[in-house]
Amino acid sequence: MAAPMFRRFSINVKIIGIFCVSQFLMLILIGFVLYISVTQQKQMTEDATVSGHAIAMKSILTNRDAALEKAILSLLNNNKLVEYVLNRDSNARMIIEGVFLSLEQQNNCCRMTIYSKDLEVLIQNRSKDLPLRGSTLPSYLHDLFQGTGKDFSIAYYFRGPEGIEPVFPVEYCGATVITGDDDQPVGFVEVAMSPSTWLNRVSDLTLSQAAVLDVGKQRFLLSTENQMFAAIENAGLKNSAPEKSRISCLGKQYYLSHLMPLQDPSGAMVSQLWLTRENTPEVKQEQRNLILGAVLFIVLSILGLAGTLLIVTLNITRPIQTMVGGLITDADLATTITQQLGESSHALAEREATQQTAIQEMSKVLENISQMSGENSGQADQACAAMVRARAAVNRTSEDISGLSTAMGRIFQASEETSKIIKTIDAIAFQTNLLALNAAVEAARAGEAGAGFAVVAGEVRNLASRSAEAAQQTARLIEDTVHKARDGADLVKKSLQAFSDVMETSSGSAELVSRIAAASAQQAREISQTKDMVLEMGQAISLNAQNAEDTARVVEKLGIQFSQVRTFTHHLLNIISGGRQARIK
Amino acid sequence: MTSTGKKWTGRILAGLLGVICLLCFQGIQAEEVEKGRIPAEHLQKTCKKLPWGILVWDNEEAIEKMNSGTGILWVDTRPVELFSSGTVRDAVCIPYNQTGKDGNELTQKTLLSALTSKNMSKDNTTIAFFCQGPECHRSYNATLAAVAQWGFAPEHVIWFRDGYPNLFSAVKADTKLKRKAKKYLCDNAIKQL
Repeated sequence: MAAPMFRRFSINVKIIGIFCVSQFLMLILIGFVLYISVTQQKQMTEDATVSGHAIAMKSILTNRDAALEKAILSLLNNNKLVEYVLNRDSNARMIIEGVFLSLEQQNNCCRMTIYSKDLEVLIQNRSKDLPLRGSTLPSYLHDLFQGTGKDFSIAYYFRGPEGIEPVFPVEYCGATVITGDDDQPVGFVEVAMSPSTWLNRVSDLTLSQAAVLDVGKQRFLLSTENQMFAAIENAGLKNSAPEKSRISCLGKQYYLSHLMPLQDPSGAMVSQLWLTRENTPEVKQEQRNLILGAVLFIVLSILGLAGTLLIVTLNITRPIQTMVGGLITDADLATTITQQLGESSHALAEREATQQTAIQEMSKVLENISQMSGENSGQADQACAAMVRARAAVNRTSEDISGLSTAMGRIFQASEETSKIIKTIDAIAFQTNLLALNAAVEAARAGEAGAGFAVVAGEVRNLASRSAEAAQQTARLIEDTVHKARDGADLVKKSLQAFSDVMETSSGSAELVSRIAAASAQQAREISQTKDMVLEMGQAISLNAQNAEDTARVVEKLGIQFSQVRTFTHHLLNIISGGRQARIK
Repeated sequence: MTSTGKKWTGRILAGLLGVICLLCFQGIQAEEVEKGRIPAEHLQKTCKKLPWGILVWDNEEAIEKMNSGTGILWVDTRPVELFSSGTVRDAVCIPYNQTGKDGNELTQKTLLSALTSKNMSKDNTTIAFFCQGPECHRSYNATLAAVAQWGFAPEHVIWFRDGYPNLFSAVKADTKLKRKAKKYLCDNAIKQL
């Protein structure tokens, strides 16, 4: 319930509230610290005063000790003392009492008591206004007295009223043992100092009025300023015993009293020493300081509050309001941009998906092309091989034709040799004819004996003419053959030239085909690489699409964040300006 | 015989030489004392006797003698002003001026008259001289004068070396002595305790 209520206030109101609360807490803290410091200071002052009083009291008591010692020594150094204690001689008593009279006058002694060895009172002389103490020494002093018998010292102590009426003020006493010539105790002597003497000195040294209090009846027994202490007494002293100091208000006057306990040797408080002085100016000053401090604090608080508000408004609230307004506008703009960005990212993602499909198809096409290119390459290889084989066949044919040309040359050569043989045969036939003619001439002369020879010679002449004819025919045939063979050799030469042309052509074709094959293989590789690249492109496009989707999701989240920023900014505006103002805006 | 004679002659000569030395020493000593310097050995606690066997008392011996008995004449050789501010109980004041130029009150005659006034005899009374302390020469010179010049027996003459102020301090410092101060100090002194 409280939180929504609190949110309705503007930051200035909150700062005022926090400031007030902090000021209040600071006030409490400062008050506490001041209280502690003032208390400590007071305590220190009081301690210093108390210790000062204690020192003053100690010095006074030392002084009293010296006076008591002198009094006791004057008694001890009187021959009659031991004589009286031992013999109870009346003359000696008179002399001792005379000594006391002089001590009473000169040393302000108020009481002298001579005790026997058994601590029974033998003589007790006191000032006129004092009552007598009992006839025996109180038990709490026994040890003290016995102690003096051991070291011959003098014991100093306060001795209280001991319930004796009328009550007398506490006495400061000195006591010691009385010894004989053999240093053995024969009695004790006690001398008391009148309180008025040391009370006046205490008063002088502490610049205060001094009084001793009867702690039993709670009234002052002796004082240096009767009227003042009577007024303090009338104002009431109840339960003042445990205090160390006390402020009494008498009318418009304030009195500060430091209380010092006076203890007997047993540690019991037999009386209380009051050291009182007027401290009205101090109290008034303290009150004035308190009021002045409070006023100063309030004024400073108001100034501080106004200054803080001014600083906060000028340096924090207004700039923050301006910034928050700008933040809200920016947040709205950012939300719109995010929405647009989200839509764009979605569209991009969709486009990327479409592209991915196209890339996949393209990849398939490229794969087919790659395959076909591979086939082309193979076929080109095969063509190349065929060309190689054709070239080999052409080479073989060319070689055969070369063989043919050689054969033709040989035929031509054989024909020429045959022609030569024919010529030889013709020469032989001519010779034979001549021989037949010669034989016929001879046969003619030989007449009839020769007639049968003349017929053989005629036949041989025929045969020689027919051989010459046959040889001529053969020579013509051979000449024709040689002629034809020469034509054949020319044809063979032409064929050989043609075949060499074919070989050159076929080798160029084979080279072209091999180049085609190499180019096809290169093409196939490149197509394969292209395919890989297309695949990579496809993957990249896939990643792009995924990224676009991620971007769309991030943009959605961003949009949510921006809407939250907007909400927070509105909250901030609420905090700064308060709910009401925010709503108005 | 000759050797014995020589021996005795040597001894006599040595004795004479010793006596001469002693006399010279005493002359020097007397001169020194007059100038204000007591020989250092006489100021030492261990020194219990002066020349001629004069006894020296310090506080302890003095207090002991005061405790134990009478028959002692305490002679305060200081001026009257000091005597009246405090002195030894029952002492008589006969000042002895250390240089002697101003004339001495303490003479054989005054000393004898003091004895007479106290009903004391020269023969059975111990005379103790004292002054302000060891550094003061009055009692020292008076002691030596009493024996050397006035014919008092050395065994009856005492030099109370510590003097009155030391005695007073000793009594004051001791609670036991303080309570019996009447034995040692005069009434004026007791008041100052």
